[in-house]
Amino acid sequence: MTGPTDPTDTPPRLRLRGMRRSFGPVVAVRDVDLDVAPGSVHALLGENGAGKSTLMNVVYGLHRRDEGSIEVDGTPVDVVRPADAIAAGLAMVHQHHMLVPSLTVAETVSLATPGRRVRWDRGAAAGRVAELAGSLGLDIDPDDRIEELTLAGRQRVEILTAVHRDAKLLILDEPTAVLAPSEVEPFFELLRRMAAAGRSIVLITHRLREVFAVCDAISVMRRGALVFSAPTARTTTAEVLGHLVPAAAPDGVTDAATGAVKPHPDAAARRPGAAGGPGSAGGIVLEVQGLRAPSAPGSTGLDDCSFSVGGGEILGIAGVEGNGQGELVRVLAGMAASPGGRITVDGEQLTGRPPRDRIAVVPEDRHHDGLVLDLTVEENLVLDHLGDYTRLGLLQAGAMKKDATAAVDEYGIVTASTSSPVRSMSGGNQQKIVLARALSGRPRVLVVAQATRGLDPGAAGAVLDRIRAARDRGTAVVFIGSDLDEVLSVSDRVAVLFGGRIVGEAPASTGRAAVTAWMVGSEPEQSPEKRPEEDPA
Amino acid sequence: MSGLKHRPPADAASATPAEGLQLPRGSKVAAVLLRLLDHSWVSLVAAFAISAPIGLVLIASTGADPWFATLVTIDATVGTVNGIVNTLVYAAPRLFVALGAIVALRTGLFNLGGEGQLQMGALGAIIGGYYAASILPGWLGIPAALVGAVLFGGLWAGIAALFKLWRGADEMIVTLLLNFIATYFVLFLIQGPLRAVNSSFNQSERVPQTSELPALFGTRLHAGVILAIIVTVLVAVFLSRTRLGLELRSVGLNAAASRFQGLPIAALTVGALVVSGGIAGLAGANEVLGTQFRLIQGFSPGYGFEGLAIAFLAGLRPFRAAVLALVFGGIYSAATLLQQYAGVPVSIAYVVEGIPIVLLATFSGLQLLRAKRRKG
Repeated sequence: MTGPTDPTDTPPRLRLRGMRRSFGPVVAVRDVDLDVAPGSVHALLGENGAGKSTLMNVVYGLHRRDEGSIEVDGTPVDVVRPADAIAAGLAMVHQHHMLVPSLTVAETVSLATPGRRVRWDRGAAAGRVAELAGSLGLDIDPDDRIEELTLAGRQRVEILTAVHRDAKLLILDEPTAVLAPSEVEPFFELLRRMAAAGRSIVLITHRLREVFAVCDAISVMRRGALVFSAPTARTTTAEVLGHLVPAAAPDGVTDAATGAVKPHPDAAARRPGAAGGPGSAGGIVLEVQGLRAPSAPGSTGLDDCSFSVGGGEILGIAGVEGNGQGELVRVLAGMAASPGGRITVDGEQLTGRPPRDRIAVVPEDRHHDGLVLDLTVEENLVLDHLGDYTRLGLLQAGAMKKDATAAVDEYGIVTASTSSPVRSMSGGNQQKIVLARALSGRPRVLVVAQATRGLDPGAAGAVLDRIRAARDRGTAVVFIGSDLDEVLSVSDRVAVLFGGRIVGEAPASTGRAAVTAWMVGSEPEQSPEKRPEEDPA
Repeated sequence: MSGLKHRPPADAASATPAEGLQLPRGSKVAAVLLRLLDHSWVSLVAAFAISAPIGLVLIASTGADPWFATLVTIDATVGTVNGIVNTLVYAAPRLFVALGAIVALRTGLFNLGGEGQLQMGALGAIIGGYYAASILPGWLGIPAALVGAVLFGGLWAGIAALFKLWRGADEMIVTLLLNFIATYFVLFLIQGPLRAVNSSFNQSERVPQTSELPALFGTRLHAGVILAIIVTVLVAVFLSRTRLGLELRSVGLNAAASRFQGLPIAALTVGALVVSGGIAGLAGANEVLGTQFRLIQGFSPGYGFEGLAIAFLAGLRPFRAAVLALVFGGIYSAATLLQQYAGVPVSIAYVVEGIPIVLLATFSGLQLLRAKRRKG
């Protein structure tokens, strides 16, 4: 499949042919052909793990390509290292900025530009940077230190650096992820100005709305392959969405390339009652109303987020990351307060940190929030209820070991000993420890965020089985995930978090199309009155 | 403006091990040797084996007799009863400070204020052991002095905890600067209000005999050494076997996860620093009640920072700290005698004795790198 070919004789700014890259058995980028026209903004769309970032990392020389050719302005370029890409006029701005915090903007920009002279004229450099920033319409003081800048400011510095180097093609990896909503529009104007000045921009994103706002051309990747490429003017949201999420995709299919989903073709059929809505199985257990959390860069925060979950039900919370998932977990875990919001479990309103027999949380980042890696298995398993294992201030080592051994058996945790540190264990075993601890308090509500992230398929399946088992025992489960296939296969009902609120709910058997539309902020094709009521009285 | 640039200590700290620093990938022999260094006693022996010839050359270069210097060193450390006693007596205050530092560091708190806490502890010991003891029954003199020392040292460190919680002030900076305040405040007191009548030195009154830590075996050895051993065991048990100890370690290893699991971070921060300061305060009591019997100007030859060094070299483990405190105590004892009897200038003596410490630090750095590589 080829990208849109330029009818004129001008060679494309970037021409990729047969690009391929595997990581072990996983083909991350599969025979991609792509053309990016000069002076254009080209969107590269795809879900998480579709291969967008990998493809661009290969182009930029961060990963070696297995096969394929790269041409810049008609000249073949052999990119082995980033230096080759830079020499060819490419620049890449990553999601995580790579700048020295204590340098000033002028120093940063100058450093990144290979110079010939030994002497560095601070004043002249600052003047050049200020002039360049002015020409781009960027509000940047050359004497500001990087550490004083917001993430958006640092992003502007990286872009400024690329322009200062006179890069012909800028690759921006999810640039809007670090921007507050109000910063997005000026950012798009900047992209337009740079394109008008003849530079090409590849915009990696998964936000469909942005694409139609600024891009000249759109390419879609799915499971490592480029499945669609067209000028924006000649396509529609529906068409792009169709390529992004093929309607034919069966429910909960296993994706050999990216993932981890255990096939559950009859997730809904297995629990016929659960698909009907909250409480159809065991009455409403968790009710969340009007949660709010401030918006941080890269996230929309929470804005009037409401939903409810029945006992013995898994409510999947789907959504593009950064739409409030992190805040939702923190509020449910009692780590952050929600002004005006209400969380009730079995009709009893909770404030502050919920008791562990009410709500237990498996946080998204198990290394950061879930585990203390250098503590032992025993210690990690009891960290949130140490009081149960303490007599006169002394830890009851025997009881800890006994219960840890039981948990290791029950959850199939592979470890040399219950007194080995958690750090040496595989991600799957670590996640089982977090889950075992959460469930050991017999919580009424289990909140799981990104349950299988980074796990191999076997471990992911085992973790999901545990979550289903908890559901079958009557626990209300909130399953927050960014892998839609997984969310659909595990959940009885799916709610979509967009812009910090639940914008739609449907039985998991509904299929992907409606859910995906909600995820990108548009209405599904079906009639609006089919949407479940959002504000139960 | 002067051309001199003052480098704050924080910069010096950040200049230490580069992330990308790699161990030399040498022969198998080198690998085996490096693995041996993971055992703390091997690195201890190796440090002294390597430093001995270097030290002898250095001593010879000053014109002193290296052979005689060797004999003096042995006498001052393990060769005679007096040597052993001195080593133990010099080890005790260093060990108290190290144990205090370990409690804070294990909680992830950089308590650099051991010196100030021991100064305040010494003040507390005088207040309890002299002033309070004057109105208490004699048998309460020692307890009052010890309680005073723990209280003063602990509260002094607690100041840093309050600043940290109140305004997010870095406890490293606050504890460091509190050292100066404590040292000069104590100096002010013994120059003025608490100065002994008719004394020609800046020193307090002598504590009554009932407040002295009892001497053992008719030597300089006193009960403070026993107390240091007891506190070592207590700290080890506290860290590994008690709920609070586990909570402190958990916070030190991963504060974010600890908060997520509901541990009371603020209370634990205050608690760890207060306990840490209290133990360091015992170092002051040990000096006042066990060796000097007064609060004397300059009674601490830098116990605070030596204790900190011991804590780090011991990998924050209490029993290893006890062993290393003996090493440091022996070094101090030897340096004193080398100057007195072998004619080795005290500066050279300290240089010689510093070599094994530098080597020990290097070895533990190598261990860290190896551990990192194993994990990496």
